[in-house]
Amino acid sequence: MRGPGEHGLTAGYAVDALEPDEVRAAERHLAECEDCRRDLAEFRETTVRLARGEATEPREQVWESILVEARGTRQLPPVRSRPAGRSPRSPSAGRWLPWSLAAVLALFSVVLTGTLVSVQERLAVQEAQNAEMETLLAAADTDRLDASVGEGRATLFASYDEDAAILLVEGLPEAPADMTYRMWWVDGNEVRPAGMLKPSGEGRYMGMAGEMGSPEQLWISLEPLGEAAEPSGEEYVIDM
Amino acid sequence: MRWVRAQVAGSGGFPDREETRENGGDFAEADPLDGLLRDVAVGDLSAFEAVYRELSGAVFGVARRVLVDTAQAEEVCQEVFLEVWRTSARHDPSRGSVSAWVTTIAHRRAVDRVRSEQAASNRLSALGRLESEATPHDTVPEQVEHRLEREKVRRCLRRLTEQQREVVRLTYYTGYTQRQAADLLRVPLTTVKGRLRDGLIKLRDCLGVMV
Repeated sequence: MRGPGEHGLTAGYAVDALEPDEVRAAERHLAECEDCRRDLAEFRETTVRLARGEATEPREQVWESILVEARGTRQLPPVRSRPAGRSPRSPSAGRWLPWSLAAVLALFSVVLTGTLVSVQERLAVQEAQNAEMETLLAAADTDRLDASVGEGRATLFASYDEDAAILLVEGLPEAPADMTYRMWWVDGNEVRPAGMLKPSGEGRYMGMAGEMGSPEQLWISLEPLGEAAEPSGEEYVIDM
Repeated sequence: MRWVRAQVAGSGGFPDREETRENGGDFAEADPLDGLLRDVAVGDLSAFEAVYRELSGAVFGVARRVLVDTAQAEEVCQEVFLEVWRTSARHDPSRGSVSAWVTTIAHRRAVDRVRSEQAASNRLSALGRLESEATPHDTVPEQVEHRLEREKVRRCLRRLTEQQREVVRLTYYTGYTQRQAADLLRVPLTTVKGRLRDGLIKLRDCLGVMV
């Protein structure tokens, strides 16, 4: 058990009143403090009542558009439990918390200290991508791969179940204003576009790449802005 | 896990002078939302609608309270329920009730928006509009169960000290972090943490929350 500092974060956690660094501290602490989890559960039920105290029915059109979208939205399968003894993510955090993005970013911090605030800020305004990332990170088969790329280093989170990967890179040369880093899946002789890497503050880049398939490699290349069918420049190669 | 039915029905108008934690009656039974959510997880749209009908008021209401802007609150409401639809199979009842899961998502999404700059400016303009218009909220007759719950919460909020109420208002209802609240109130962060914790404990007891 740590000092009262972490204990004091439970109430703030329950009402979403923590800064990103405090969220990470609170989640680490909650994972190992049973009393705090009970407090949290009670505070959360309390906020249910506060929310019900604000209850106002939205317009019926809100439900109608939810229904339309739900019909076209794939539901996620339940999270499968991992085989015992294999825990590539966090050996200590346990699995009682949902894999909130914040919790996973706390794990990223081990890899890429300093990226987090900027990543998280960007994500706050990218709800859709946010949800996709969360899904990917929550997938039972998600694995992490660390690799060096040129002078820099890359961390890849990939899930075959979700058919997608998240790539975080630091230490790449800054892309000129009219250029962008692109990712490519490579299997055999085939090279498939895998999307853009976006700047994420302090010379770091991140991107989400779908339609992964079973690639042998992920390439990163610097390309002129606009569509690119194949890499035109020098590539960094990450072996999968 | 025990679940108190009163929390689903909205346990409004019970006398709150009872010192023991109110549980809306002596019976405790399984949360009907748990069963509904299991049906949602296998694609049952009518179960999904039942969950929506049960929680849409709280979800939309809390989002609108935090964001002030009705259009944004509707967007949050849509996002929340689509997330519920998409991830229902992954809700673990041992981690808390369906209501807590869903309203937590709603509050977090609303607060995330408040903390992004664009939302902040929309919110300011919405606040500006509110000064010149009557809020729709005052003109639409409230459903009785909502009114009872609202009154219950108000009574319990009145039981907090002014300082506790202020911190609960700034954090939960407005979306400030504890640190921002401390800066605004010019008190140490530990003071804000203590007031929030004490305030939530009083609210928990007054509202008769059971886990």
